[in-house]
Amino acid sequence: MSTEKKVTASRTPPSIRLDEVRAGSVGLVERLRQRSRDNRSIFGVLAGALLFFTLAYYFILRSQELPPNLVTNGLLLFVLRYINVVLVLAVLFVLLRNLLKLFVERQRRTLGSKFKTKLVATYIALSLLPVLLLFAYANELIQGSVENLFRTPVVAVLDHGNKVSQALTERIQTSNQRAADLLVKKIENIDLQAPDQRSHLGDILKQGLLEESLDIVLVYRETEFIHAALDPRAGSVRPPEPGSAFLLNAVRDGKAFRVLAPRDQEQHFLLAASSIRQEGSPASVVVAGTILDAELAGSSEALVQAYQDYRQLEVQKPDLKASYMLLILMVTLVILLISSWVGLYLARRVTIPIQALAEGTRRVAEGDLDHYVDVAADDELGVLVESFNRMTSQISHGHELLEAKNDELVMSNERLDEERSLISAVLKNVAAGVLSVDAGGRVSTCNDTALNMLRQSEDEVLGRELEGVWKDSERGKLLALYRDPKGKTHHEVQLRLGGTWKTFEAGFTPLKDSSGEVTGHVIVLEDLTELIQAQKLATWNEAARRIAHEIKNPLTPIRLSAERMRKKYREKDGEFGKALEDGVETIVREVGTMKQMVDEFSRFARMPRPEPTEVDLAELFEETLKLYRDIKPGLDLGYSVAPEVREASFDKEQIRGVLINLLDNAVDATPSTGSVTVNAERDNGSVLLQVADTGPGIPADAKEKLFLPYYSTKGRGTGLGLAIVHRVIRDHNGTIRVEDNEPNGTVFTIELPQE
Amino acid sequence: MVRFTTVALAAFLLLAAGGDPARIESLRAQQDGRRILLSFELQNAFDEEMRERLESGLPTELEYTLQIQRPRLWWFDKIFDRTTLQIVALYNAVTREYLVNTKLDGGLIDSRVVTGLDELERTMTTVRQLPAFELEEEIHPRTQLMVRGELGSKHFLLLFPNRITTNWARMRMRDVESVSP
Repeated sequence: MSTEKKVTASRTPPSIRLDEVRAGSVGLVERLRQRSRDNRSIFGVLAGALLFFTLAYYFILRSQELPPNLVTNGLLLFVLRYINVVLVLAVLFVLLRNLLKLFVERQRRTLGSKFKTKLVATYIALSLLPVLLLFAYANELIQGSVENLFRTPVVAVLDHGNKVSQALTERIQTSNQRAADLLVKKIENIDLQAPDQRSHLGDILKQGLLEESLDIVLVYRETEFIHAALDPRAGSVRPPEPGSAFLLNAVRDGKAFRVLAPRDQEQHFLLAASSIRQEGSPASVVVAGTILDAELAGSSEALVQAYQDYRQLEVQKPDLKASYMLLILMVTLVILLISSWVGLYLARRVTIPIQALAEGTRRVAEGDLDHYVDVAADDELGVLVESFNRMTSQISHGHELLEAKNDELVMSNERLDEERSLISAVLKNVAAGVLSVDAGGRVSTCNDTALNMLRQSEDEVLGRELEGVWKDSERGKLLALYRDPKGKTHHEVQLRLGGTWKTFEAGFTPLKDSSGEVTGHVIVLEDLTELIQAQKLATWNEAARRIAHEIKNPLTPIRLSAERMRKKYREKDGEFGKALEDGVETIVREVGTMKQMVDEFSRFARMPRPEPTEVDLAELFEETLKLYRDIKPGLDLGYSVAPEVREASFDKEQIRGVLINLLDNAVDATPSTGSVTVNAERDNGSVLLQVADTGPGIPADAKEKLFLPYYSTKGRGTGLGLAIVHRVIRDHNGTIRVEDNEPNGTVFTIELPQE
Repeated sequence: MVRFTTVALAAFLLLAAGGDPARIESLRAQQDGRRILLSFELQNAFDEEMRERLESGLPTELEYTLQIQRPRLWWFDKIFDRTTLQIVALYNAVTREYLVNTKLDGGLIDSRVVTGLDELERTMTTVRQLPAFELEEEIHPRTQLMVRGELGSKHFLLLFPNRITTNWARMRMRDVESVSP
């Protein structure tokens, strides 16, 4: 593991935006800082461990030089125990905390927990087993060393020396005790209170010194000092103070023994006391003593002290073992703590990026595309993490785009739904019948009005092809117009539906997409039957009014002529004859005018349905133009017929009437120097007839009303001529339009469809 | 299984106990004015281990905790007074004498030299008319006098200290005798 990894956060959503670079640079700086802190902490732990082991090693080396009582010192043991308990708790805490975390992660089925468990177990086992083996070996070694410490020859020497010392002391004690017993019997009869017997006492004691080889003899009356005798060979020695307790013990028990080692003297005194009680008086105590000179006393004391040290060490052997064992345990625990911590740390550094990646994949799979794995690593795992983050960023970005598009689509669909609803409402309420046909000729929509107009049900129309919907002969007219609109978008068509004639204006509008491709058609049907009936009614009303007006005009001169004739007759005027003649002439003329007018009305009113036949156009033009050849001398009259339309199918008489009407007006309006021409040519499936003149032309406002009945620009005539022309052309399913002729004049264009 | 475990545990504890445990015996109290004088004996305190320790010259201590307390059924016992008696023995291998210092609440009240282990054991385990408490107020008759001896401490698994103490010896305050004038 030569890489750095650090998990800082994992919820910062990334995005491919302008601020990403800025945020990324800040994150990088923070990661580097974190990594630096990480490194410092690792180096700190390692340095601390090194220092600790150095001190521990130094202390172990020094402990071999320290006196045993220092090693087994209670405070040292307490400190070692305290440190070890703390270390045990720390190790347990580190291990249990990580094991608990692993357990919880496994219970929660956190991704990567199994891998982490294996890795942690491996690391702990790798660190735990050698350390524990080392501890066991070192412990055995220490235990053996301590046991060997008590099996050295020095111990035997000490033991034997101490026994020798004790035997010597006991021997002296026995000798002194015998001497004390002897002396106390010798002074049994001496009154120790009597001054005159003191000299005798002294002699006995001196003799005793010599005979028993004693160094000191002391005499007490119970605890009261009486006399002391010292061997002059012993040198300048102060008599020792055996102590009242010693004397009282001797009084109580009859004898006592004590080794006296005064602090202010180098010699030791081996004292034995013997007492004897006389009736009615205090007991007499004789203390017989031997002086151990300074050298011997020092050697004896050193020997005893060494032996005591050995015994103390033996008594404290468990503490000594414990001390070393605790020391080793402390080192072991520190190694264990560091190794387990480092093991766990390394395991975490390996598993955390993997775990973060696993968690990231899970989150991304659940749809959290903003999830960001923020793991600082500069090895292959780092590359993997970066790739993962880049991938999620791109997915997130794509997802955002998709969502935006989806939102747009949703909005568009909503708008379309609204528009469709609006259109549906409009179509439902509109008076016109509307059908839409897709590119395949299938009816996709159809409003109720259209169904009512065409007397069909929705099932018969919707979703069906138009050929099947309009297959009968009457509706087939609409189908024919749909298939061949003849360059027009609107047609007026009459259908016999349900036994009644209906007049519709049918509009066929192609639907085109943005590329201009036709994707279908909208068919709009407008029922003109009632409108036409109303127009007819209005026309007839107007006709009645005009007839009344036109009839009234000739009636006035007729009435005036009749009244004049009656007056002349009553007055017997001589000019009666002339008046009669004038009057009759006026009446005849006006009646003739009235007859002409009635004929025209009759013709307009009783326009028969056209009966088409094959007509030679050139012949028709020739016959018609011949009527006008001599009317206006100098006027140029001519015609032309395209070869492909020599013959055409229409009602010859009605079209002749149309041509006469148009030629009447043209000849009338064109000056003698002008020209009037009639042309025929083919345009797709129709025949175009044009009557053109070079007259003054027709004003624009007059063009709009030109084909209305009783409209006239000439101020004479009935105004029915062009209305009749329009009616004839319409009966032929054709159209007529008026345009300006270039450079001057007017041109009427008639389009007659040919079946 | 549970029965087997219980029996095994009891056997182990019995073996671990190793004979009669140390205990406080002959607890007796006398009231001299306001002073309470306590007398008692510590039995089975001197085992081989303690004797070896004493003869090795290591300071060896017996600590007695003496207290007056009133037991309470639903709460901790109320302690009115507590006194600590420490008896420390130190062997001088040169003079073959034991120096025995006695401290009451840290203050030295007696220091003596004894010879022989029997006398030492008597000195350390027999307490006679120790002025343990000075009563300042009337004590409820149900109040108890309690004595416990501590013989030292051992460590479980080398780490966890375990004080070796006797059980509490108790007597009621109403059983305190008056010192005859």
